[in-house]
Amino acid sequence: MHEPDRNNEPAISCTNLVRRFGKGRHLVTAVDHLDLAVPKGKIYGLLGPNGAGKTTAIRMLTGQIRPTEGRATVAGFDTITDRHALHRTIGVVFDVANMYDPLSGRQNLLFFGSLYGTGADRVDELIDLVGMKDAADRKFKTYSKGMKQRMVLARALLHQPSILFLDEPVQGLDPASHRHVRTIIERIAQTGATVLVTTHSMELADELCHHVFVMHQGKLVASGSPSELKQAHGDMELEAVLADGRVVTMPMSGDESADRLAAFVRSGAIEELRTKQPTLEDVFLKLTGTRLT
Amino acid sequence: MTGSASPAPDGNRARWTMDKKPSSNQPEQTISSSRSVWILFRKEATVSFRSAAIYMLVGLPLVLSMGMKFLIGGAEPKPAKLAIVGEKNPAVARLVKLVGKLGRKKKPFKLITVSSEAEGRKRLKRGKLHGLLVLPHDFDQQLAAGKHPTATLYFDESAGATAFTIKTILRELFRLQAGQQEPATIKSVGIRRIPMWKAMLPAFVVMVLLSSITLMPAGIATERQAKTLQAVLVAPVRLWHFVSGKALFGIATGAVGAILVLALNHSMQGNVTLLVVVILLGAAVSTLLGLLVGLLVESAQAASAVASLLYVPLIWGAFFANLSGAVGSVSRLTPGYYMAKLIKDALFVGPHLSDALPALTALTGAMVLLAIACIWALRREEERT
Repeated sequence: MHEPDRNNEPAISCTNLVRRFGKGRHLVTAVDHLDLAVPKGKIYGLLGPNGAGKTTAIRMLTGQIRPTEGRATVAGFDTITDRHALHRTIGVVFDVANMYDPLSGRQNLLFFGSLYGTGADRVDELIDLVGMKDAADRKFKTYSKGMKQRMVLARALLHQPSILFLDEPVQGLDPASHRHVRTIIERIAQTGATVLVTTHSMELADELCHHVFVMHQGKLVASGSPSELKQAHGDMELEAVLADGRVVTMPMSGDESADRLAAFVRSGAIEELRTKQPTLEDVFLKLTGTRLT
Repeated sequence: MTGSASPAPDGNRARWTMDKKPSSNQPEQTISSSRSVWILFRKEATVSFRSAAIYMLVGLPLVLSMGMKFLIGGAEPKPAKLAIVGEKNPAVARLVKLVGKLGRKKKPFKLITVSSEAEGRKRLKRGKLHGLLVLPHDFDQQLAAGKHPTATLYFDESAGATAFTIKTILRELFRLQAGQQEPATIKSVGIRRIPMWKAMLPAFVVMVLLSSITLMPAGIATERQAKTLQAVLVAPVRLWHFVSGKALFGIATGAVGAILVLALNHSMQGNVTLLVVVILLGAAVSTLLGLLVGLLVESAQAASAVASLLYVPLIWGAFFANLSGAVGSVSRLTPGYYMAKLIKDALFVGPHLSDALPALTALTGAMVLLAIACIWALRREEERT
């Protein structure tokens, strides 16, 4: 079989990717002509509100479902024709903690590890990495949400994947578990793996991702690093704290803002003046007219 | 629009370990199909044996079969109701007297007299009698003349064993009556008497074999609902590996359970080879049917409902095939009937392969059809995912 040249290919690439569900009046286009080119390494975010098509896109890119139109390659493997080989190369964390409840965390990892041909040493190593050494032999169903999420993360790493797909990895986690999972993802990225995270959390995308793809109603509406996106699509604002306690916000550009600011200065009403950075939420609002959450 | 990002400095396939350093010699992560199926089978066994359902499904028939042995081990079928025509016939009168003298335990039937053959046949047709004995009016004269009179026994065909018992006892009574070795002609078919608890064993074995119909669909649907199926399928595992692992477990559970029911009741007897073949075929049919339901039905709840709907008429085949009417006719069309019949024959009759061939063929046919349907459902499922 021809082995794709994985050195020169992008980690993830798709052209005109479309996925429709249903028929007739119930036809829904979940992903609408998505084009992506993701180079190897770093952490990439697929940002969008619920129903934007992020999970469907991930499911197509990981070979779980077939696209209605278009094609995708991941690590050089076609997601339809080379699905079996693709699955040896990628790791997937789903939007639910899908492990076997009656088995312990360790038994779960041993089972999934055996499907990849990895042994108990690797399982121990990962249990250590995700900080589950003390709870590894407890039944999976007894774990907290954060513990479950760490275990599914460990499962995705069993075979040392070069590309990792994480679908809403911190959704519903408490702040401590959120931090823990985020740290693990950062450690993975430091090894040179490519990580694609879907999230509707702008904070996570801002803090974690080197590059963000913004999706809305199945379409890609923007792409760039968080700072690039904010610069290109977000407006810097001025916040003036007045002597009477009021806070007045105004765009940092335009004659109207300049005139208002000059008036405040002249009247001596300003106690404090500060600049306000745009957030990815602002970017999304500007691009789509709707909020992320 | 096209989303693209600038490449990272390290563009090659990543390796990572605890010390965060990429390793350059990743082992080949290829495992064979048979190994995948074996791993999935092992997982299935580990997960299933942590659930109470499997113990219920396999254990209940086992306990029932054992309990039946103790509860009704010494019990005999209820005495049959035999009618005899011609009160005034001296031979009949003597026969009634003789039966009356039989001890309670030895009395295999209750003998009553009816006024005419027509009335007796009418009652027999309505299921009020098990048998009707008609002696020729000159029975005694024929005996005295050294002739060989013929007694006619009309019997309910749905109770073959009862008719056999009646015939055997009647023959003894005729001997007593006439003081001759073979005073009258009574056709008899040589079958063995089977204790009731033992006669019910094939039905319990079928219950165990059919348990896979309930186990399989819920298993697949639950995996689909809990998304553990997705997790397995993003590993280098094909859907047919997954399904084969489950099927292997279903067949093994059914077969081991069935053999346990027989072994613990000291009934691994008769044609053991045929018995094992039937058990394996039965477990396969039941498992494939369960798999088919599991592949076609979406949720675990729907799977349980459909499985229960299938289980009930299939189990009819084991219990109600001897009944007349629609229930009996439908029962005789189900794989459960063929399983029970073959197991019964293998245990108590020890037939030659040629005798068992029609039922074996029916069961094999069902297995092949279900396997084809499963492949179709598997392809359909793969198209969807």
